Amino acid sequence: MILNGNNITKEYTRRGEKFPAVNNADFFAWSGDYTVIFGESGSGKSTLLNALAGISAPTSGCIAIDGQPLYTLNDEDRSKLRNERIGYIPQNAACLPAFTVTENIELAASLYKRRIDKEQIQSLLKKLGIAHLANEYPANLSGGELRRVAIARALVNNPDLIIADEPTSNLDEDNSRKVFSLFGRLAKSGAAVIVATHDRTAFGYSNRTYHMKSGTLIPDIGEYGNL
Amino acid sequence: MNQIILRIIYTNFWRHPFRSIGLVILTAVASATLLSSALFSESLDAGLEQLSSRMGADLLIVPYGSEAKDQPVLLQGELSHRTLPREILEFTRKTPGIKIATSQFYFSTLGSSCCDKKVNIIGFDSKTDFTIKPWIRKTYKKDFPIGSVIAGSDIQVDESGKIKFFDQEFTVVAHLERMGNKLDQAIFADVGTIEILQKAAKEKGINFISEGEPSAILANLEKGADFEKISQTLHEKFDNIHVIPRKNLFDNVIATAGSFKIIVWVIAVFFLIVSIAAVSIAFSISANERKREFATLRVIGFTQKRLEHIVLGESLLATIIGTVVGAFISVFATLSFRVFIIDSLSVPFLFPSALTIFAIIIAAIFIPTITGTGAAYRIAKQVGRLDVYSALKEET
Repeated sequence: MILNGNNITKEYTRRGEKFPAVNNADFFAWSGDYTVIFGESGSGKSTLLNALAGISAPTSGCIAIDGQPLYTLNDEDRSKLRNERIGYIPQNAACLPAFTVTENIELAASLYKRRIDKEQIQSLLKKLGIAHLANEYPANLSGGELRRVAIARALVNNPDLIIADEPTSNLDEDNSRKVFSLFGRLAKSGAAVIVATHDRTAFGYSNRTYHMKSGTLIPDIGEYGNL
Repeated sequence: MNQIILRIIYTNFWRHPFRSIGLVILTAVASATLLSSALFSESLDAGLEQLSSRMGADLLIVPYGSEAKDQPVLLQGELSHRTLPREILEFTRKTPGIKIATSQFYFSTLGSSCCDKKVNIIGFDSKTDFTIKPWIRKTYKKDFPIGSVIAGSDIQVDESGKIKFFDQEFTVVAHLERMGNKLDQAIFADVGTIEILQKAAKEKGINFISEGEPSAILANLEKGADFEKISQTLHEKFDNIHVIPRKNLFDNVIATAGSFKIIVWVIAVFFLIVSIAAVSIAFSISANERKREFATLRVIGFTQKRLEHIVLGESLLATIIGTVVGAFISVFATLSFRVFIIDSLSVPFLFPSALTIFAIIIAAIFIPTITGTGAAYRIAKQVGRLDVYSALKEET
C-alpha cells in the first residue's frame, strides 16, 4: 500500500481572507511505515489528516492510494474505501449513544460486508483494555474509554492505512503505551500508520517523523527523526 | 436501505423514547383530525344525498309552525305532531298542476317494547306513496300487510320479530338501511296498521292521534307547473299551512352542513401545518445535536445518501406509527360518537361506503406521512452535506 500526497493545499476563509491551513505539503507512506506528525495546535495536522483520510478534499494537490486519486472517486466508492482500507481515528470521534460499545464497533464492521467477526471485536477490546465495557452504552464511559472504543472501531476492518489524530489525548501513560504499541504491531504486520500527536511516547515507535508548522509539512531529521 | 440503516433507525427510535413519542403524538393528531374531517365531510355529503333521494317530492305541505325554525325539522325526523285538515289531500290532488300527492302521518310514543327513548312512528299510504316506499323497497320488496311495521336501523327487535305498542303486537317485516338521522329510530307503517295503533291507544285511554288528519302532504308537479300558483291556490283554501318548494327543502341543511365542513377542514389543515412545522423543527434540533454522531458515521464509511436515509427513515417511522395510531383513534372515536353527532348537530350524518372509508383512512395515513417526511427532507439533505471536520471539532 502506498499513500502518496503531492502539493496538498487546503485553504479556509477567515474574516473574508483566505489562508492555507495546509500549504503545498508532500507526503507519502508505505506499508509498514509508522509515521508520526508532530506540531503545535493549529499547525494544520488535523486538516492534513482529514484530507489524507478522504474526509475533506484539499483545495489543490493530489492524494492517491495505490495510484488511485482519492478525490476523483465518487462518494460511494470513497466511503467504501474509507470503511474497508482506512482506519481513521479523528480527534473528537463520537459514538452512537443509542448503541452499546460492541454495537458501535459492529456498525463499522458490517457496513459493507454481512459477516461480523465477534471474536476479533472481543480481541480488540481486550488489547485496548475495555473488554469489560463491551455491553455498556457510551453515556457510561469516560473520555479515555470512548477514545479506545473509537480506536477499536477504526481497526475492526483490518485497514491497511491507519490515521490517528491525537489518539492518546484522553489516555494515561500506560494506556497510551498500549495504543502506540498496538499501532506498532499493526505497522509491523504491514499496515501504514500515521499518527498526529503531542505525545512524545509515539516517537519511540515511529520510523518516520514529520514536523508541521503553520501549514507547512517538514520531514523531520531532528531529535526524533530517523530518516 | 440496507439492514444497518434500518437497525440505526429502529434503535434510535426506541432508545430516544421522548423524541419518538413526541413526533408520534404530533403526527397522530394531524392524521386523526384529517381523517375525522374527511369522514365527517363525507358523512355529511352521504347523509344529504340519502336525504335528498328520500325526499323525492316537488313540494311539501305541513301545518304552519310545525316546521319550527325551518324545513329541516321534518327532514331530520324531528317530527311535529300538528296535523293538516283532513280534506287537504283530495284538494291537493285535484289542484291543477299536481301530478301525484300522498299523505304522511307522524306520531311519537314512549309506550313501546323496544326502546327507552321516544319512538317516532311514520304512517304512509302504500297505495299512493312515492317517497317512502322506494326507499323501503331497497330492503323490503313485499306488500305491507296490516299489522306489520318496518323498523328504522336503530330499532332493536327481539327474537320473535315483534314489537309492542299499547300492548298490541306488531310484526317487524324489515329493517331499513341507515339514514344517519333520527329516522333511524323510527317505525314506518301503512295507514291500515296506523288505524290498529290508533285503536290500541284509544283502548288505553290515549287519544293522541287525530284520525285521518295527515301530518304532511307530499306532491309531485306536472311538467311546467307553476309552484307559486299552486301554493296560492292551497293557501286560499286552507289557513295555517305552509307550502315548501323542493328547492328550499335542503337549503338550511346544506348551509349548516357546509359551515361544519369548513370548520373541520380549517382545524384539520391547521393541525397538519402545525405537525409539519413541528416535525421540521424537531428534526432540525435533533440533527444539530447529533452532528458529531453523523460526522462519525461518515468517518467510518457512511455515504451522504446513507445519512440522508437515516434522517428520512427516522421521520418516516415516527410519522407512519403516528398516522396509523391517529387513524385508528379517529375511526374508533367517530364510530363511538356517531349517535352523539347526529343528536347534537341536527344535520344528516351517514357513513360513506366501506370503500370510501378505506380510501379516507389510506389518505389520512399517507398525507401526514408524506408531508412529515417531506418536512424532514431538507434536514436530511443538510445532514448529508455535513462538513465532517467542522462537526467533529464542535464541543458536545
